Amino acid sequence: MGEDKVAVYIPKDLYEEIKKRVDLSGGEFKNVEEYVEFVLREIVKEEEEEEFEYTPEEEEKIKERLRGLGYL
Amino acid sequence: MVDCIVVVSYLKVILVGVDGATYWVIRELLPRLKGFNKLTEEGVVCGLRTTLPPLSSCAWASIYTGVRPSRHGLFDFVGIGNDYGVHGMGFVNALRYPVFWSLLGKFGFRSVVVNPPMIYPAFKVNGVLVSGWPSPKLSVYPSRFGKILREVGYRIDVDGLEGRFRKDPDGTVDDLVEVAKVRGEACFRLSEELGNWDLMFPVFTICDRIQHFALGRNGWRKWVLKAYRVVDEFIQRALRLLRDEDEGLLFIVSDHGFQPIRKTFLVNSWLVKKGFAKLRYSHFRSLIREYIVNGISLRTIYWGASHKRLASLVGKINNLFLGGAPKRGRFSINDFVLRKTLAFASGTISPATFIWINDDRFRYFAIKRSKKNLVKEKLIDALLDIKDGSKENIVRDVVDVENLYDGNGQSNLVSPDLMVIANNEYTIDPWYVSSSYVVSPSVYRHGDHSFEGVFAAAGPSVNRLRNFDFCGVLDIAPTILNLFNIDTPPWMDGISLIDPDLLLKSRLKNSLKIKVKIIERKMRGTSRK
Repeated sequence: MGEDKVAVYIPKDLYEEIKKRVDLSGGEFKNVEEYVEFVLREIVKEEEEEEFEYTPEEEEKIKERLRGLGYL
Repeated sequence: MVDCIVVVSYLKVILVGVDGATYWVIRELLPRLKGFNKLTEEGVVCGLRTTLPPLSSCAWASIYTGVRPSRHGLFDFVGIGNDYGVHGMGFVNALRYPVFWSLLGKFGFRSVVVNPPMIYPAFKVNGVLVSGWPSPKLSVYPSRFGKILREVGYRIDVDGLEGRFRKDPDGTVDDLVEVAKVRGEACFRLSEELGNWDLMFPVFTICDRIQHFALGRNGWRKWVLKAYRVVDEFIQRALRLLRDEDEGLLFIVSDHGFQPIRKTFLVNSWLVKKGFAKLRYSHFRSLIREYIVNGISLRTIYWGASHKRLASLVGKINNLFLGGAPKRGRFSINDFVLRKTLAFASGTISPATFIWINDDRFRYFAIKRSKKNLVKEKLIDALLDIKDGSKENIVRDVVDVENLYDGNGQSNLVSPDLMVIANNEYTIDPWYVSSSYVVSPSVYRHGDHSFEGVFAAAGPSVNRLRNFDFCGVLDIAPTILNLFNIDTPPWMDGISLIDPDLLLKSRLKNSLKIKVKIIERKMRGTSRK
């Protein structure tokens, strides 16, 4: 059974540009959809990774480690 | 799904990161280091240029990304906010450039990365990642590998080293050796558990820790040898593994070198003395305040003494009985009368540190931005003219870094204006103010960073390497990628050490190129935060 999918519209010239790259990929990407999905997944993944923030306690622990080495 | 491409490679690569490993120290200890000896006989061991400043944070970030500090932005451990607050600059995780093992993962190569400094928390990788110093706590991806670390008794580092070294140097060194041995064991165990790994990349921090304390002291070899021996044992085991399992390459890389320190330049004391900064307290009052906070000792009297002869006498007694100057960390920028302070220094104690002009980027500025160039010029001239005694220059160079180190793209950090680089055997301390601006090194910091680390390579493919006499930390990431037939991404500043004419051409190369382009495009489109 396939994943649930929804349609997203992109400009035709962009579609053509991607299609050229798909052809150049020597079979790595089967079609435009696969290429677009790969790029979007990469970007979403990075966004998720960037959300991390340190707590004040963690920040203090980091400074403590630096002081412990005589760096500060 | 096209998450990765399966590339069949005959290579396994073990990249051993050794924080602070130094070429000249290795040469001196070589007869007693079997692994390094083997590398010298069968491969190459040479110096490695580090970054400016020569700090672990920015050098490791450059090793991982192949990008200069001025571009990746992690130029120190801490930065200054416009409220003069000292803030952590964050970890490599937040940088816009990917680390080389993430790129390898995108091409299907599996890595085991243990203790990479400035990586926290552990993020998703194709393989295993154990966060590195100065992680506030241990972080592992995937978390199921944490069991192995608990079993071997893994520790990030030995805490509170400065104080421990002073009280019990031999015990502290032994503890560091234990931590390093466990780290090596953990790396092999994790690799075994993962299976089919392509890159093993542990980072040892023991050489940095022991050299800070030991270099420049009598009998330094005894302690330093222990540090290099632990690493050497790991190298010997790694060479055996590569020989037994497969054809493979072994690399050694350090983030910076080390040098013995004869003198410490108290840069903020100098700024006060030359009228660029004004203390909130008189020297006498600040001394009394210091005595109240820290107690009266020969150390505090020594650093506080104005009279040359008294300072010299107390210094001799201090060095003889107490082992050096006092602890640092008592000074903060708020101890200055900010409206009357044109410039101040901050950052990590090292042979290169930063000066900020207190202009209208700051809350209590003393000068408008439009007039700062005049102050900068005066400062550069004065800094380059500082002499220790009558002849020796303390400062080797002053670099205008405005617009270069732009506060790591973090809106709460202000870009420094000048970078001061000390001459050999001096370090720069912005955390202490005294009437003298040149003092003996502290008990802990008898050794400090230098600009030449070490690079080594051995294995059947080493003859495909070139230019290793001129290599720098920026060249490591492109080299590792090239070993796996991945082209150097266009955003990297480093140059691969592999001769392009000899680089194996994979039938998948074209499709690999396309993937690199995708990542590149994505990065160009990501605005700096």
